[in-house]
Amino acid sequence: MDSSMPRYFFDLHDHSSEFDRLGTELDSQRAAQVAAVEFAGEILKNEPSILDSKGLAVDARDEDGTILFTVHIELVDHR
Amino acid sequence: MDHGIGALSDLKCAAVSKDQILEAFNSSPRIARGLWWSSLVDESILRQWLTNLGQRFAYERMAHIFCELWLRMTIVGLADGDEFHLPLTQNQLGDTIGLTPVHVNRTLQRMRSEGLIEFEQRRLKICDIDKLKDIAEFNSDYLHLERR
Repeated sequence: MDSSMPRYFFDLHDHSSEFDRLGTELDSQRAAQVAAVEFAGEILKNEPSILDSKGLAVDARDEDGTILFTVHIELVDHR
Repeated sequence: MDHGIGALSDLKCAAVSKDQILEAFNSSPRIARGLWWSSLVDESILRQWLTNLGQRFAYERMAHIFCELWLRMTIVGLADGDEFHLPLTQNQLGDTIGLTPVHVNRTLQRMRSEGLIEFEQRRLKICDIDKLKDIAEFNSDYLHLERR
């Protein structure tokens, strides 16, 4: 993999927070967005009981720690 | 060939021609039987992997590959007790079991924190094989390791 590609870190927040220390090299912010959605989807598929009314978020950080975007998944209770 | 083969570590390989194989089959029923056996085992492992990739969740799936690798390395004498050389990056491990690298990382962290494994310096250490087998619902029958 090309080491000049930026590294993105994907943190998962549900009831607690899990910080990605390893990161993934991806060639653009768009690729990082797709990877974050894919990760959130995998979490939902593999651990569906993780989602409750508190929601779930995947934050993408750059190497400086700046949060670039968030994928937020909600379960909205109507009663 | 309908597929390619890559090696993760140094290896010796030898080419055996089709004629030599056929000659071996004719001259030695034991070789023919051995290869037949081997291809039945390959199919059995393939069936298990269909289940693993299609039906098991990430955590169980990773537990399953670790149980399989540890047992196969142990049988051929390449494991050092509960540890063995596993020169796979997290990306490669993800490709193997159909997970994104982030999810591989998450699952490894969970297994580490639960005291199931350690994975450092390209070595995988199985800290609790019984628990790992329970998680994976691992039954080694599909590997056909016992002589009958």
